[in-house]
Amino acid sequence: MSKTAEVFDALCRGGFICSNAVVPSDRTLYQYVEEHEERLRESFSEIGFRLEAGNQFYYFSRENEDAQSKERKIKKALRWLDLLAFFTTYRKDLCRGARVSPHEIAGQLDVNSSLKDQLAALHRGSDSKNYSDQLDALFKELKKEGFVELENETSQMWKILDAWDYMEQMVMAVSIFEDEEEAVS
Amino acid sequence: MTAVSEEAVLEMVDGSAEKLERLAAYGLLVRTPGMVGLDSQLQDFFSEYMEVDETVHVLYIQENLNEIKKLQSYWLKDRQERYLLKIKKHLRGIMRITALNVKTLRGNMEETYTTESNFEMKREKLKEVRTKRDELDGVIRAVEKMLADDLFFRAASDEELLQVVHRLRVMLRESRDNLIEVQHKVIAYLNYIEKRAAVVDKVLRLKMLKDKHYLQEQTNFHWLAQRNEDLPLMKIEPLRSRLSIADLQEDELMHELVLRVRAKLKHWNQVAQNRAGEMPESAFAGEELAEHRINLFALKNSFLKRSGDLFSFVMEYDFKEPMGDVQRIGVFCQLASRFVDELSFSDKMRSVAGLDVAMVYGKGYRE
Repeated sequence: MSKTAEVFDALCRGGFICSNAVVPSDRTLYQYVEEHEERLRESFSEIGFRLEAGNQFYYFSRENEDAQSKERKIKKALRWLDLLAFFTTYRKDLCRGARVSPHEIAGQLDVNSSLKDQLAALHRGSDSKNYSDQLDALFKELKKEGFVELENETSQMWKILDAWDYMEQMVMAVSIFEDEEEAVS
Repeated sequence: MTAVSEEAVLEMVDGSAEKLERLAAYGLLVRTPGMVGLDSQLQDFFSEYMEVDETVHVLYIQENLNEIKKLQSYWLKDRQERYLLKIKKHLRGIMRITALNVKTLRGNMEETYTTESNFEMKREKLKEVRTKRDELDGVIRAVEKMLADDLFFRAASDEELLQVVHRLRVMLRESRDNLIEVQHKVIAYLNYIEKRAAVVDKVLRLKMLKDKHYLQEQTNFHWLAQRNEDLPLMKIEPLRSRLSIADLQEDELMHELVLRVRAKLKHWNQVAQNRAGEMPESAFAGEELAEHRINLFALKNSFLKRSGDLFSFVMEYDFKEPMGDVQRIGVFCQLASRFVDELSFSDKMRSVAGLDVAMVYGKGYRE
């Protein structure tokens, strides 16, 4: 049975299909895309979507040339950088496949002032005041973007999906122009 | 050295603190306030004896090796059976220690990689594992070299010795294979850690630049994000589709849905709230002027369908509103000027009520 429509549905709103998704049917979908990658790529290219393969995940790209969307993209990328920095500050070895819970992070807030400041900065302009609300909001945001999924509801354990790699790759692609003075010294 | 609380130990010695003190007096236990630990020598002995040692001891192998060489030279000078027995014992010792060491090394590596969460520590510990591995590999090679080169082992006549040597050789080869795998893994892990460290550095560096507002100036972050065409980064627009009219008419389910929506609308307070007030009387009393417009296009079309000239057509046409001659002449002029392409102008003129009027016909019309 063809799952083309299912794949399209999952990707067309900017989602990811990850190999380490929490829900088994999502993992099956990943395998399906993997097996039919060529055919799907062709079908989607006919309607203007490019099927892009990351490291253990898939997503769509599409040509888009309006100026307004450029601004939005920059805004979103900057937000991602903030999020990534926050989680990296929390734990340096955090990457795809890792599990993390808001409680664990909350425990670190009092001993790591940088983490606390960043959390406050991430929620500038919102009205949630206490830490656990802010962290919950953060995880929900990441879930909406497709980077994490709730693995265990009772222990509030979230799993970092393969798509996390997308954010990291984005950051790694950036080149920093060194100051000449700096380069000399 | 691991120490346990005194209370836990007391249970094991029937609750008598005296026994504990005696043990401490013999130097078997080390007591710190509230805690009891095993003497370090004893601890070493137990960990070695029970093969639970967590450190890799390369020197033990080296010691055995030296011992063998010594015994070997004794034996060559004075062929006493006990030297040979001791050599065999040390060979077995090497076999046991090597196997244990390789196993420990593997365990250490896996454990470091999976449990150590501090990046720096992880890297350092793995590097230590690598050093140990190299050392172990060196000693194993030395033993192998000795077994292969030394005439004593190659030409030994003792059946048992030959057997021990053979077994040792097999074991050493296995160990070397194991060590090669350990090396591969350590390198892979270290590479992975380096990569992770690079990601972490980059993220924190960019974040720092962003906070200092240098990001746009000193990196191509904005440029990259701008030209990124990936959907995850774009604003997500929901797909919109229209209802199929055919379905609306034919599908019974749709029918029901339409009715349901209508019922909901009925109860919709807002509809009532949004109702406009009464129309004021003045709205009806207003004197509006209606402008009559003539559809020139339709007029032209109906002219083209007929024969005769345009002027007579216009003058005789039955307009909805009564029209005077002057108005009709105006309409004639509008028609003639607007549809020049579809009309043919003849050279003939006609005089009507003091006006010279050109005779205009539809194209293709011949008088």
